[in-house]
Amino acid sequence: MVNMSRLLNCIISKMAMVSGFLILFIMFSICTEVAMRQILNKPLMWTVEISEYLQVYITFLGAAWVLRKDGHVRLDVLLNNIGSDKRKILYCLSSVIGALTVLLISFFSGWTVYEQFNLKTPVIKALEIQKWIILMPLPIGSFFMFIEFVVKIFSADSENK
Amino acid sequence: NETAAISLKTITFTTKNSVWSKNFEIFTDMIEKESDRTITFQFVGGPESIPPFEQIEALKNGVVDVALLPGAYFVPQLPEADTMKLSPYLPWEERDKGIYQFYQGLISDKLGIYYLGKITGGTRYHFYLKKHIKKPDFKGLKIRVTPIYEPFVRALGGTAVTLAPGELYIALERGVVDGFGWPSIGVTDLGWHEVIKYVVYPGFYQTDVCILINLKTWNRLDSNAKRLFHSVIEKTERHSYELSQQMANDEKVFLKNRGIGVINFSGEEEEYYLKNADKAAWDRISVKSPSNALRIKQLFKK
Amino acid sequence: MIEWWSILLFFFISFSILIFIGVPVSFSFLFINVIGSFIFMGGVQGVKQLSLSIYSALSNFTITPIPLFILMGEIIFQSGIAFKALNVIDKFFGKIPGRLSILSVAASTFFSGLTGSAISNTALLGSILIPEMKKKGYGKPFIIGPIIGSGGLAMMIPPSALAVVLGSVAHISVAGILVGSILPGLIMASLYTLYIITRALIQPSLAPAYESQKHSKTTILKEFFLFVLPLFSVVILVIAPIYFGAATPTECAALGCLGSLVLSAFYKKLNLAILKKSLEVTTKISCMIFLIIAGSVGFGQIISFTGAGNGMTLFMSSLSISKTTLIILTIIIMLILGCFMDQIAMMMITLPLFMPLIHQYQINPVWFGIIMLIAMDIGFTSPPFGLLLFVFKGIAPDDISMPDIYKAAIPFILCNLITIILILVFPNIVLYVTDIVKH
Ligand code: NA
Ligand code: NA
Repeated sequence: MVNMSRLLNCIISKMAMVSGFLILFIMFSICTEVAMRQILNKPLMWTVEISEYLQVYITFLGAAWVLRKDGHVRLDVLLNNIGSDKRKILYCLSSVIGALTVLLISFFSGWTVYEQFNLKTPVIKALEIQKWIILMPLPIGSFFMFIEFVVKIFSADSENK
Repeated sequence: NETAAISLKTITFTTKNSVWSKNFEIFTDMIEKESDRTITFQFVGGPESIPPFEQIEALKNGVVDVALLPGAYFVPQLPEADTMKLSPYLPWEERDKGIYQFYQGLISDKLGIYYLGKITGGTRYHFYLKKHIKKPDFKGLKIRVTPIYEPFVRALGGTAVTLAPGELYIALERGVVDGFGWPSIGVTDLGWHEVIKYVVYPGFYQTDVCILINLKTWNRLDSNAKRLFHSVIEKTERHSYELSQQMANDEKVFLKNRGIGVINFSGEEEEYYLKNADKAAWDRISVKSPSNALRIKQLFKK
Repeated sequence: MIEWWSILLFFFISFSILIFIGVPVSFSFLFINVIGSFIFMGGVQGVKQLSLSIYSALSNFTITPIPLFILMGEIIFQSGIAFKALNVIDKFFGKIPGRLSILSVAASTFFSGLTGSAISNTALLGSILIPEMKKKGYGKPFIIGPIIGSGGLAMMIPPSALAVVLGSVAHISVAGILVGSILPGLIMASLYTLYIITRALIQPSLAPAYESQKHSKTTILKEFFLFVLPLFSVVILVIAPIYFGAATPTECAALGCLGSLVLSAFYKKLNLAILKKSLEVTTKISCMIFLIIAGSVGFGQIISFTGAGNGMTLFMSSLSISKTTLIILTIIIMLILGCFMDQIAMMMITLPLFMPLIHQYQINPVWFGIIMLIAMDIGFTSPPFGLLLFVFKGIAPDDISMPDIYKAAIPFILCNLITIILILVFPNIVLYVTDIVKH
């Protein structure tokens, strides 16, 4: 159990780390693009496209980690004005709703990835990357968010006891 | 005798007030009228409802019944759609030559979609530039491209630049790019005439805005309804051709009056220019789908 | 056929409940999107379509500046460059009430020349200025308000991506809107400043005065050259390429990021720890914002798919009303839709329906477009669901609660409303400038 949670911890923070590096990568690639176009008259062509795709990766690779850090913004008006028991129940309820949401998204986006993988549909831009590759972070990221929500539900429960 | 009323969910790749959607409305209005409103269209929107490049999936899966989509929007799913813009014929000529029937088979086999026909056929593409050129040579020019004419820009020696559509206006205004390609109608709608100086006149390719219907939906229609769809599209393709020619002419006059220069080439250069346009596109398609490309080339032969 | 208002009510009520019980904003959106696409878009296939909509909302170059600006802000903040520069400015303007809040309005006006997005602007200024203002003991209304209020300036002062989209969706002269919105933008900025100074005079505790010690002119001058000028040069480096046609606004965001890295290296403040910390914060905020965007874009798409937004606009436009009522109604529609969807979706739903009316009533389209821009800005920042407010919450320190943000935003919304009224009463604020452009 302890090993499992350590492993989960490790995966989630590694995925977030990749997110961070991708942001850095986008920055350097766009700067390179400007230089190549303005100075050498040889634009890279792929920076806009790659940045767009990486944004899908950044969002879904980092989302579970942000969830762990409680970084997803919520309205705190009600939560701040009720007793801690009720607050725990609400936290638990919103984790259940969140878990359900990301589980469904994980399933349906996974289905879409599977379909697109079989169809081999590319995205027609400069690079013609297969669409399933870009969609891939959706089921994976959502799945880890699901686990994270489940952990939240059970840890709130054990605190209650 | 009473026929059950059918309502078809309809989506378009542009907003309601665009040239293309307006021409499409002529089609839907006519169907509604001539079917005594037993067939109606429920517009579920344009790009604000389903992102344009995902509309083909929505049509395939039956989320919508009818879609208005140019070939470029389903090239990912059907590489041969890239050839539709290369046709030397007008939509009704394509019916006579069996070209329409060929595409119909292809689209129904590979996508499970019924290809009813095209509107605003015969509308050509042009390059709109900030700098003057004398010959069909784009050396030193940075052109914002879409996949439709990217190979052509490269073939002319230009630097192909990809930009988000929302950034094109400012990029042109500030000179980040020197031009872009677009059909002969709609440039003024988007305000781009405010930031260009020349239009390269010889028109290349043609728009291929298709009316597509989900195959299950199509098969649900009775034979009368099917016949009505065909008779109406045959009227609309001519009507929208005349309308778009008129609009293209109006737009040409408008641009001229605004002081936008028209760039024409000599006969020989024009031939070189247009040949290159076609060659660049065929080269790309021939790699992806060699046998069908050959078939289509045969069909296109005058 | 379900009525438009019952559909809107369904979305509004279910969203309100989720938000109110504390479900994070992004998951509230996504939850309703899953349910809504199942109900309104034909079951399972509709939900599958949703994953494509998430993908296409995120793989969009218009949101690229958001992480870049946050990173730029973080580097400038973490390396302590901002703090030193602000100190010098404090020494200069120590006696002006609410100077840092005014600075954030001024900076925002300035950066508006760079970004077309309220979120990017808020993210950039928020990450640089909030910590410093807290350190200097500023009250919450003065920390929060100016940054949120100024987010909207990004849309008003060119280049503005939103103005370009507005022009092309409504078929209005883009140049007209870009030029015509400068003056209203400046009016907004002046009203903000006026409000800050007035309130600081009434409530001095909100903006503690700088204890004025004697500084020799040479010390200040030295510090100015050492701390303010280099920071300023980065800002110039960021903005100049747009004007010389070397880069697009998005590309400038990346250049600015690089510039701030170079600058912090110049101050010998660039090390692995700072870079790591900056990236961590950037990732956290960007993921949060991106997931909200993914959710809200889908939310808007489903509502427009149901035809509810369209239905409301059609209904309102079918009422036979006077010119002024028409304008007021359109503003109200923008405010209602502002609770549900992002600005581009709002424009694509309403403008194709509004514009024929605008021409029929012979209303100047540029003038109308600029009113729309401000109305959208208000919708974007108005409680309870203005998206920009939630974005700000994610950037702000934990002790700033949503009610704090609501309270701080309201005066700035009023300033925007006053600007709209001014434009309604004195159309020449817009028309005079656009007439010059025409001739
Ligand atoms: Na701006
Ligand atoms: Na709002």
